[in-house]
Amino acid sequence: MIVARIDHWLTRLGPPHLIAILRILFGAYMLLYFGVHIPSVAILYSNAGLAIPYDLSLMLPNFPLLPYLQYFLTPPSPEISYLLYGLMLASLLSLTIGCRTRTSALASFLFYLYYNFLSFHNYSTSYNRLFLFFLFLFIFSGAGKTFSVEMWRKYGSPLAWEPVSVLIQRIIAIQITMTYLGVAWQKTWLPAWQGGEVLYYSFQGMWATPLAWFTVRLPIPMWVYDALVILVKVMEVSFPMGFWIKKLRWYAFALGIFFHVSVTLFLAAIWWFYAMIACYITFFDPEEVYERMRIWIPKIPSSPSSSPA
Amino acid sequence: MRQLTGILQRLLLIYFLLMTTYAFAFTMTKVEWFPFIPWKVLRYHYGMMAPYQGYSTTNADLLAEGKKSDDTWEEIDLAPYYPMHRGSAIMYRRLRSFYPESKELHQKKYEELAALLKKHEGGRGRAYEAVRLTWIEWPTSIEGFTAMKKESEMKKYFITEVTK
Repeated sequence: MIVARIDHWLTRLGPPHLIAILRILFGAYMLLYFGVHIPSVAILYSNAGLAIPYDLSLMLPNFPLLPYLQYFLTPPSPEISYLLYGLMLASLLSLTIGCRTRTSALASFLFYLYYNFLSFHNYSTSYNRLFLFFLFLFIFSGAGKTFSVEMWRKYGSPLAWEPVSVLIQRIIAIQITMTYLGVAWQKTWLPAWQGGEVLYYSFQGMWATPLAWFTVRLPIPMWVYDALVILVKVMEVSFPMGFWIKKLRWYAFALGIFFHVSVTLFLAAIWWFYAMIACYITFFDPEEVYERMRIWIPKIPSSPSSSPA
Repeated sequence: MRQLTGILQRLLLIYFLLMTTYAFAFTMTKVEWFPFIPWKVLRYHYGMMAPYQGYSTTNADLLAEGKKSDDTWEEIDLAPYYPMHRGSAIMYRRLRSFYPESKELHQKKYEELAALLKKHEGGRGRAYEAVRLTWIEWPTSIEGFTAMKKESEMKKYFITEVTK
């Protein structure tokens, strides 16, 4: 009985508006993330720069097609690198507007994988891993089942919708929770996080923002940094739990946003926070988002569309 | 088809829940409880919940130098090759995805980097006889990122020198 209820919670069908909104937010964010690098494509991703591709033999030592795969990772000429980059941006745009959504998500995922092995592997941050994982999930999400070119072509309206499985939404919500909790739990015992020094020295490090430099020059006693570290730990444990409690959800979101904005003001980790905040929507039930959308956009049909005969 | 989709969904779900739980346990114990699961798979999931674990009382960066025809060395400005925030640029210059695999491979990749740098600098009209790479560290300071980047304060770790 309990297993059946859990299974139902994880895999039932629901309105697609929530995952479609996340598709638009995440896709737009990815366009921005890659878009800012357009002027530097040649230097970052072609043989005109210093790209050192990953050595795939470390991952697939006995794979028969390894030499071909490795050859594929050879940094191309600047012209080809711009062409590939353009194709990736086109696939991300296509994903964002919900045009051939599954194919676009697959193409975006494969391009991200390519850039990961070509360049990002040397900079394998948590958020790069999360973005790749989320793009993979979008392939199976049914995120193009409303607010999309796909529905406009099929039913004559982008507001038409078809139900989708809530599975991908749940996986993203669980992953976000575990990311925060994993980070928080580690801080409870990691030696570096037992005092305020971690903040004090980070404000003098390679990620420090001008505000961090300004702050660290102020005569602030170490006990203030100690208190801030405790506050960080309390926040990182409390808001992911609050996401799951309906009465506390909006407070938890506010706390999460406050946390990310604060981090971004002091450490140049801007790419980290936007996508995390966009994913907060996955903590709602899809029906809640659907009802809210129907209030805001009354033209949204009250029932799923069915395929034209 | 619907049945197959259901099965695939649950397989994805089971994989995700198992790996996420395992990665979460790893964050707390740092023990690989299931050695048959490849470390790279565990590391990927663990990596999604492990940002910013420590700090350093030193700052660091890669120093690239070119040898001129009069046998003197001059510093090569790496900034044009890494058009990004300083933190990201230094992360890239660490080539850290090779380091855990083997020191030899890490060294080899730095040799590739030095050779590429020599080639590109030559293309920009700075034909060096050799390029050498050194990892440098210096104490942090509230006065600025490079405030203590002085010969007297620096630690230098020679990496490689290429002439081809």
